[in-house]
Amino acid sequence: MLKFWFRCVYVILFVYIMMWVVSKITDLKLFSAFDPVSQALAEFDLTDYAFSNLRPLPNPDERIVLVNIGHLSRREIAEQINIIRQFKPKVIGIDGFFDCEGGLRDTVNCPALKDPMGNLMLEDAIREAGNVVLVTKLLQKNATAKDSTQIDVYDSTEISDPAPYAHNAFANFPTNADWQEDVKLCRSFLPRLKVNGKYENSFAVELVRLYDSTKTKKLFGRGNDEEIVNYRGNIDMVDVKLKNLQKKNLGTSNFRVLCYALDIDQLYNGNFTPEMIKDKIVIMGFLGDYFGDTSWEDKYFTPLNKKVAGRANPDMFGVVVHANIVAQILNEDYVGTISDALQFAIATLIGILTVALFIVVDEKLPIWYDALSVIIQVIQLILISGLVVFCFASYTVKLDLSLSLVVIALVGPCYDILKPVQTIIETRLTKRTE
Amino acid sequence: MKQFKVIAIGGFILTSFLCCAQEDYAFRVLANKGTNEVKSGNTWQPLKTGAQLKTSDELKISENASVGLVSKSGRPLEVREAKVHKVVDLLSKVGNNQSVLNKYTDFILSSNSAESKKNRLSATGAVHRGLEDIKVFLPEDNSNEVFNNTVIVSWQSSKSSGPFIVTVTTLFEDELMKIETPETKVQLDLSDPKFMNFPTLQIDVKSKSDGRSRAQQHSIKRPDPSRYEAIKVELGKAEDLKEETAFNKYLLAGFYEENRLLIDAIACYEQAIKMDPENPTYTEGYEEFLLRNKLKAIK
Repeated sequence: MLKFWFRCVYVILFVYIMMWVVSKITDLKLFSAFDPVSQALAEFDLTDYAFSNLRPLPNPDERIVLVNIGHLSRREIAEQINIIRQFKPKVIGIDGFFDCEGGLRDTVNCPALKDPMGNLMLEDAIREAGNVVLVTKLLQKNATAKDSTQIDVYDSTEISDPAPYAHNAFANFPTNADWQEDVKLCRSFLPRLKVNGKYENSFAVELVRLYDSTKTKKLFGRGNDEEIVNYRGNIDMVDVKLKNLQKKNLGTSNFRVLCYALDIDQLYNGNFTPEMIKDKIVIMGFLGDYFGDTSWEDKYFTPLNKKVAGRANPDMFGVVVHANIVAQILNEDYVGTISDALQFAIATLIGILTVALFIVVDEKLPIWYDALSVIIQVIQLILISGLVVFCFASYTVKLDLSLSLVVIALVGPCYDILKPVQTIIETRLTKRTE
Repeated sequence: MKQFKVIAIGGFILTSFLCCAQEDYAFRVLANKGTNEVKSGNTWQPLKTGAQLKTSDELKISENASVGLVSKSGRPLEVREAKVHKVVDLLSKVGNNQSVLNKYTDFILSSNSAESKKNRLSATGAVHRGLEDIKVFLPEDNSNEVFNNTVIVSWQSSKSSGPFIVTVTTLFEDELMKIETPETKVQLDLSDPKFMNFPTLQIDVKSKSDGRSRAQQHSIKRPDPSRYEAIKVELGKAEDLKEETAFNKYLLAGFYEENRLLIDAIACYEQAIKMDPENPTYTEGYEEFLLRNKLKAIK
């Protein structure tokens, strides 16, 4: 019996060796030019199905109000702030930078400097409101950027000109993008990060801290450096003038109403009820030039996208991603995960049991082994994929069993490769014993 | 004691009645796109974000509009179909919680059918361009009535720098006046005998330099006699504003805007700016007026 389980273990060891070898070969990117499928599916996650299609419809959050700033000038945004603050929101967040990017303070590179009165009006509106959170951007100094060992170390921040009159918090998301205009997918956020030895909160976290600090204490109490965003909805309006298309569901995501949202003219015209803003979190940011604008500016791919893999349109403006994080923290609706050690343990256990099953089938039904081993693998893959999706959709737990899936996929070939080797070893050992 | 019991029972019945009579809300409006309306009682009113909808209300969705709602129990609902919806019917659509298995089945079935019935020629390799090179600051809807004789037509051009040709025609496109100008505004006097017999006029602005850049055609009209008289009476009450000052013109612009006489309001703003060009109140007020009434697109 011990020999039986020993045999299972060394097949699994061989599986892990194979995985290591394959990973080293793929590091060389020898086949990447001929591998469009894996490129298309590189960002695919099984739980995306659950996010976009299977979860029960999440409830919108009435504590959050989004206000569109479109491409308004600084003086026009100042006017927006003045209108909003009349209705006494608890905190106002502005998801926009009011500085000269790269420190280029001339009117060619920074046209906003042509309007000193507008800048003064904005500064004044922010100071008068007294509860404004502005975004900052975490940056690396030149020396840090050149040091390849310090990939996620940030020692500098880009701040807006009126920063001294507001709370400041970083708006960076962990994505695969190289620069702001790149195609980007956001699945997680960093609650806080040490910059020059001092903790800086992320934009959404700072908004919640000013709204209800007990919620952020609970977030920090979880002790996670990175949290998965539990997306609850979007502000996804469609602007289609052709009548026959208006009946179709042309939105980019399925859950399309996250919270209150005001377009530019609705705020100026007072087309809202005052109690909608009182004591709420108001987040001002870019939601297109108007509701339904198809602009890709500051727009992200998220797991709420109707297309879970391959080419698709980005579905969510950055400010809505921040609002989703705010809603998640307020509702204490976190996504559970399993540790790397547990992932490894589960994968090893499933692998050993699979090998055991293969050995039994091989010995009892040798003629049917080839067919049955494939069927067993397919059933296992379907069951595990279903379990991952079900756990996420029903219990908001992200079971990352991708290692288990790879082990199951490799167990069959590895077992077949090892079988003749094992026969040779056993024959030699038997001869030596004789 | 008996009297106390009667008062207590009476009070209870009255409280219960009042509670029932004060109808609770069914939905709140989270997001609103387009000119949607709500009928509460007998009147239709513009829909406001944050407003509460009661079960007895009706919701009118206009073309290419949508409304995001949240029910009292917290369930979201998006309404896009352009028609009058009864709130009670909308309420019946929310709250049917589906299991993961049901949702999975629905997803598989619906996505398959949607893919197979897709029109493959929905997109073109072209963009829409044309009439919007020049944006004239005149209303495009029914707010095109003119009370006074002075009409100032101004415009913004994204491509052409001028000169521009402004043509005033009748409804049957008979040309009444043609003006060439290097500027981006012209003043028309409706007391000119050329215009006297035509209650409705059409205004066309195009670029002379390239001949292609042109604006959407706009029409202006005189109000009907009863409305004209009513406005005249209202305006007569504003004795203090008769003096020709920039500030009075600015105040008059507000009066005209309130009465949906946007073309007269434009003339007042233009005159106020001309009288006191250094004062930012008038220029900023004019800019906000144009944006507020969607006469100018937001950059």
